[in-house]
Amino acid sequence: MLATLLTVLFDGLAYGMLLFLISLGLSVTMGMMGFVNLAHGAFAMFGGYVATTLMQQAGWPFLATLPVAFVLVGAGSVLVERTLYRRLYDRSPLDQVLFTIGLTFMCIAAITWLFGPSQQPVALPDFLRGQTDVLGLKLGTYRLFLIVSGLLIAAAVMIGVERTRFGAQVRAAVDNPTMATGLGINVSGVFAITFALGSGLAGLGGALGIQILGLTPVFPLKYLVLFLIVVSVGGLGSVGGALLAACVVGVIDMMGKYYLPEVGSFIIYAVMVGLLMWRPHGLLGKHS
Amino acid sequence: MTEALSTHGLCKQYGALQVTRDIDFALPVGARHALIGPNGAGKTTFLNLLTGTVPASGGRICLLGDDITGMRPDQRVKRGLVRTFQVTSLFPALTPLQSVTLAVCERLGLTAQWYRRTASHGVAVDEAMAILEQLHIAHVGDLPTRNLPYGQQRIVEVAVALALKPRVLLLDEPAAGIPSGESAELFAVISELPADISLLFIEHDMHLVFRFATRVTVLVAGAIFAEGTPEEIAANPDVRAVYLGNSEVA
Amino acid sequence: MTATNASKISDWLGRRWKEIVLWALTPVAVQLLAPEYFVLASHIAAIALLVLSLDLLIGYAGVLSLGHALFFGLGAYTAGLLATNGWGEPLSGLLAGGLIAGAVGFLTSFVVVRVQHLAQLMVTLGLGLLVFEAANRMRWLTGGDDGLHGMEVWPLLGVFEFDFFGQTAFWYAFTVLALCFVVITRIIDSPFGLALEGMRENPLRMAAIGTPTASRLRQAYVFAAFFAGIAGALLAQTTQFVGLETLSFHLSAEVLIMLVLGGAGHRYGGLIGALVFMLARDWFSGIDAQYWQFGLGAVMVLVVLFSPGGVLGAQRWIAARLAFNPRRDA
Repeated sequence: MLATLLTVLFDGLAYGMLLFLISLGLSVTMGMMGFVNLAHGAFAMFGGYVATTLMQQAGWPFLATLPVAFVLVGAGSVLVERTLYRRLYDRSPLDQVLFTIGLTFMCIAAITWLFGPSQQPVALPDFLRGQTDVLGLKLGTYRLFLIVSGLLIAAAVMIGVERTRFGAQVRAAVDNPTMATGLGINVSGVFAITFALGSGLAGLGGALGIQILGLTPVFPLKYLVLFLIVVSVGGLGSVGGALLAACVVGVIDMMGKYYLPEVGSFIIYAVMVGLLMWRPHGLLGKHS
Repeated sequence: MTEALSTHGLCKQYGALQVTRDIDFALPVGARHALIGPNGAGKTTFLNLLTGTVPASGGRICLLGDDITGMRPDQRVKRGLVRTFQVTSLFPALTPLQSVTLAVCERLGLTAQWYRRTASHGVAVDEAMAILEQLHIAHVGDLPTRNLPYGQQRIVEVAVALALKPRVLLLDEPAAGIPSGESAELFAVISELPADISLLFIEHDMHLVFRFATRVTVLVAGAIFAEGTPEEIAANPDVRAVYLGNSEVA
Repeated sequence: MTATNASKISDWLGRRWKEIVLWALTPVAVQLLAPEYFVLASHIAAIALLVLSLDLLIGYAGVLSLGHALFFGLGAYTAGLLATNGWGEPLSGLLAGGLIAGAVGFLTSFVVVRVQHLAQLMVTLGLGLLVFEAANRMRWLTGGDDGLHGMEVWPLLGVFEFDFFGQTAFWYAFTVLALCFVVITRIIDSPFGLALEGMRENPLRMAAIGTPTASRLRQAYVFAAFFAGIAGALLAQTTQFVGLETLSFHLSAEVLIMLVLGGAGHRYGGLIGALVFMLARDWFSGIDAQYWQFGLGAVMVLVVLFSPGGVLGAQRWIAARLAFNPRRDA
């Protein structure tokens, strides 16, 4: 019984790590520029397809595709931001929602045309398959790998945000963009770099998640709600909040599906509505 | 009851920052009272505390004898406490006629009513037109507010406030942005208000303060610094020192 | 009929005769020219009413909702369950759908109005998903994935039977749409409608003129829910089937798209958006679903970039540029 519970918790954490990696960029983007980017899931999807293309067409090993996914998606996102997104920063949330959903539709259609609608396979390296013995529990090795990588990346991001000068600029820009500009911070430049990093992380998350979340052309819409839940529950612009919310969402969703399958995702949505009523700015969001 | 509006020990702090300190203020019925002070003294904050836009950290506010400290902004308005905004805050897509009609309808309690056309409420529309004519902006009454020059938008601000038939009217720098030739006309309209309306206005233009105020309060760093007639305040050396050439004192 | 009533009616006719003629001619045109499209036309009418109800929320009150299909589905399932359980009278079923949706709208309005911006978006989204999941799981009630079959809708007014050709269904749907349109137009033109626009433009100012904004928003939300419920019941009765897609996020998103493409906050915007969208989808999906999705996405992107007021917004922009004074309906 306890073993099952721990396994479910463990699976939930791994799931949560993926959600964290993908949602972090969205949280910071929305917190800094107030830009409602519902196409964010597409970045994750592109990362996944970059990885599978390299694996299938060029025979690359899985782990080698990960940094490429990160860099390509990050670089590509800057292009999108410069040409399209930045025209919309002053527009209403409704316009931004419409625009980014439209972009998402275009991405889905394009990917379906290029790759077909079916699930993409992924060939994990042997040492990441199977199970590992941890303190008497048999835990999935890949999931263990995800949790460890996720925590390392989270730590790196948090250190970067708290300790570096660039991180201080990011924090200032999230807290009060007008004031930050007044302090001489190039908010637009900070944002572009942050956007690239966040999108790159999403691409990485998408590649890492092929095994767990699956990879089909409808990925952006399928998981959009979960990303939004993580962002709104965690609090815009909060790294710790995104991590906490992602883990909570991952665990609750996993536990719900395992212990109360008749109820399904109902619990997640109910919890989200309840949490937002209690704290409209998210668990760790700024209180205005 | 001779006090239209009064505060007792009113204060406001943001964390460790005290922006309003222990203000005891009284506005008599029929007052023409000016609130002046250097930038950042907390004048607009004081107004926001009075209207309830910002919740007070301590103290009491009384309007026409009733304690309104715990009331929402819209409840205070219904009791006769009306304000205008320093930076024009109107309805960009609506016309002045619509905006003023809306205010009249709200005062008459009509805005919950959904089955008769606004245009068929002749009393409300006529009253709105009369106010626009009184302020000489009836000729632009059918243009979207966002298309009007800034000066006229300031006048629409006052028109909306007047439509609410206030007992106490708080004007936050009403003349800001209006060319000096037109601001006197605006103040003439205000000075023609019935004597039982009590007026508190924030102003930087000392000519206007002298012309229309019978009493002046000086606010510095969130606390009352001095109070008296315009002549007393002008002659007060401490007040001159605080202002240090920020505006002309006659 | 007193003198004032007669003059009111002639007054109304004088103002609106062009619209009245248009509304009267449209169903006649469909009857004469395209009777094989009755089923599609009924579908469009129901969806158009749904979009209209959403316009009250988004175009006039300024509430951003990604879960409006919730009320559509509630209305549909209410009418559906009545008809599968022995009560197939259409008009009462229609009203029941509206009232149930309106009641749920009233309850949820307290939750939705308490939050703003992203949180409000997420709460409306979450509520919609909640109900969808619940309906999905309650197979015994809703039929789950298979939907609600076996609706027996009685003849309209005891005389007009609902048959496969869909003629009765079409006239029924169109008439309901027209009547609701009149009522919604009246709401928009009323002091309440003016207050809604004020709240959309500047909520802080509304509080400063004494409006209990939360209360007005809740009222708007209930109206929107009521009409969405009527629309759902209408669809259920004219197709004699209710599926889960009536509650889906997919529908909520599509309705939002239709509204914005047509032009939110303009009286006819929702109707135009619904008509164009449904016709285009019907045509394109026959060719290639991928082209439809890509094309729709591209249109959305282009509209936001270059014509944010949708079709009607662009029309007014052009008219203003050509110095025609757009008549502001008062």
